[in-house]
Amino acid sequence: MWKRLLAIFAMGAMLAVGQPGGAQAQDEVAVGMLLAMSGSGITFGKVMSQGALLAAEEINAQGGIGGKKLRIEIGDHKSGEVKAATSEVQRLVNVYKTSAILSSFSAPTVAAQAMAAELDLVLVNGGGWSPALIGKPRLWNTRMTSDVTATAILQVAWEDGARTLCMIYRQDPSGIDTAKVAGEFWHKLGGKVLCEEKYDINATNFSSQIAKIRNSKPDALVAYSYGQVHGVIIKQARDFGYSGPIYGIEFLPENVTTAGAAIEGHKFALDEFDAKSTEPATAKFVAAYRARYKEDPDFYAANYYEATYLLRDAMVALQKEGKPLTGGNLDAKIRQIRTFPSVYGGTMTLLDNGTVKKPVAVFQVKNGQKTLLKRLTD
Amino acid sequence: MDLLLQLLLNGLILGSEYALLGIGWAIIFNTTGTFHFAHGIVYTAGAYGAIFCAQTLRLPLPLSIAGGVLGAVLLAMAIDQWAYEPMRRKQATSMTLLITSLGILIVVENLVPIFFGTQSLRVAEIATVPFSIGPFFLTNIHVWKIGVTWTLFWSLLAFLRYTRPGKALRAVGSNPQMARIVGFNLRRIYLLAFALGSVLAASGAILEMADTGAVPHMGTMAVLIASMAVFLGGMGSLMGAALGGFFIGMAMSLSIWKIPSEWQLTAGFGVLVLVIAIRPRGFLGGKVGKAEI
Repeated sequence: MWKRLLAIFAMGAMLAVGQPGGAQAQDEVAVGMLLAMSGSGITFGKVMSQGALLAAEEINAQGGIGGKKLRIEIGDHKSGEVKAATSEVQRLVNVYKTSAILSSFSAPTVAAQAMAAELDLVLVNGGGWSPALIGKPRLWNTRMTSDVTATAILQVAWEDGARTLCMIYRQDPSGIDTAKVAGEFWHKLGGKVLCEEKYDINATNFSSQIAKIRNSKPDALVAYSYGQVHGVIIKQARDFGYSGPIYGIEFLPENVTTAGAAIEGHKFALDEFDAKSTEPATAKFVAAYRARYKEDPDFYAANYYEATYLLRDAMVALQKEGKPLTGGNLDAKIRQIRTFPSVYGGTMTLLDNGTVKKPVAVFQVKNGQKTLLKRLTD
Repeated sequence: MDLLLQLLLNGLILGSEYALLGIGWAIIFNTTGTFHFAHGIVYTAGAYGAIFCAQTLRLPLPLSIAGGVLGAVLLAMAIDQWAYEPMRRKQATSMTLLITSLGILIVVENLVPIFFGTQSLRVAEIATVPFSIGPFFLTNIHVWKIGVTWTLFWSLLAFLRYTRPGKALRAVGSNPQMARIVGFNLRRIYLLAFALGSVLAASGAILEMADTGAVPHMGTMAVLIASMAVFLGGMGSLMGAALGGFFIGMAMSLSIWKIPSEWQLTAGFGVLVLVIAIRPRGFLGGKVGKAEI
């Protein structure tokens, strides 16, 4: 009796894997996402998935990928855990037969990229910023990497009169590689790095790091942190007596909630997505996003929205040539097309080294609001 | 020298925070023997309960804080009544209870963003006021953290030592079978332990929310630190749990005086491993016996 039940269950499970509810059906094209759906970076996972899901809805309403429905499958890297990321990549490939993954965070993306050739994948990263993501086969970055933003904000710090600085960053590729590039740039400018403080992925208390930074008496503090933690670091810097300027390359509205008045005056360099822009592509995206989610999109939502369209364009082009949608073919097609429509306005062009050229600007928090200070590139 | 003294002050703040976590978890573990991982979600409920009362119900701050604590207590008692107790009746092993507790933590923690969103939240009425004492810096919230922790700790010790329900808690923690035979109602005592532990957890969570903001996953690290504090201090000892938590916080703060900051968390766990290797029963576990609270 039990053996028969077990056999029926096993057969059912095998059949389920072959059904649309489980794996990719014949009339579907699955695109995977590797996001922070739990843990400290859950906010990122939410907005990034919203951007991609909105794009998928629109694409399907327009007829999908050559008549096939575009399906988004989300994997959770638990806010940067490499082990979780690699296991989720395996799941997305083996269960959903995806050949393209929209990834996020630096460490998970680096880990997924290492598996890309073997699993015949192409990756598009719209969130991770580490210089370690540059020049990697089968990886395209649609977010400005920190070799651009970190050096841009240091230039601002230099122009503000800072000559010595301390850096605080997360102990992962996003922090370590950024600090390396930033340190070299600062030395070239003629400045001196007095201290580098690192923190663990699960850290929420930075009081000791701040004490060391204050003790070093730098002209400026640069926080290469992100997510909710970025606001906590800024708040604790002020709480524990650091009174100098604080620079960064990240900002979320919730950082203001966390840091309160302590974040006032904070300067940061960031991809310049302007939700108030009157550019037709931007306005259309923003209106659709507001209608769907009752909130304004940030640049993360924009990046994953347009990255989904980027993959759609590459897939449709391959279909027209009668080529299969393999990771290798998609990678080659993206390399061939290079220039894609962008909701930042106009187009975005992917470079040979897998990075992108996009508008970058320096912002400052004034009266609790992100305020444009100056545009760095157009 | 200024740096060392500031790190000591930071250690006092962090150590107090961790001591509060340890005491709250210890009162439940010592009394009921339940490895209460779901304490993490009770902790989270304290912070979000206060936020809900302040922002949605528009209650005054003291009532919002009371609401957060009450919400956490009710959640913990509900978990014990409807999740743990039915399993205890079926003679479930402590490992089964542990897995159940972990499951509750994961499930409920993932429900939090559905109701409150993923972003960091704070009660706006609680203002942070930084100030300095000579060259040393801290805020009003840090003073509250230290004050609340040690006030609650000594109050709890007095409750356990001088009141009838407190003595009942100690008796049940010491020998539940004997306590039942002499007429103690174990269900009531267990619920009391969960309620007391949750008051401490919620107090810590509300202070943490006031300091750095509440996020859905805030309870996971809290319960990890709490259990570390209990093992370091010695199972069965409330004083040990306080000492363990305080020691971890102080070690994490002072460790980066001379070593790079990326080793901070390692230092905290390293202390635990070292102490357990030398004294497997923790700081006070060997001296005061299993259920001395």
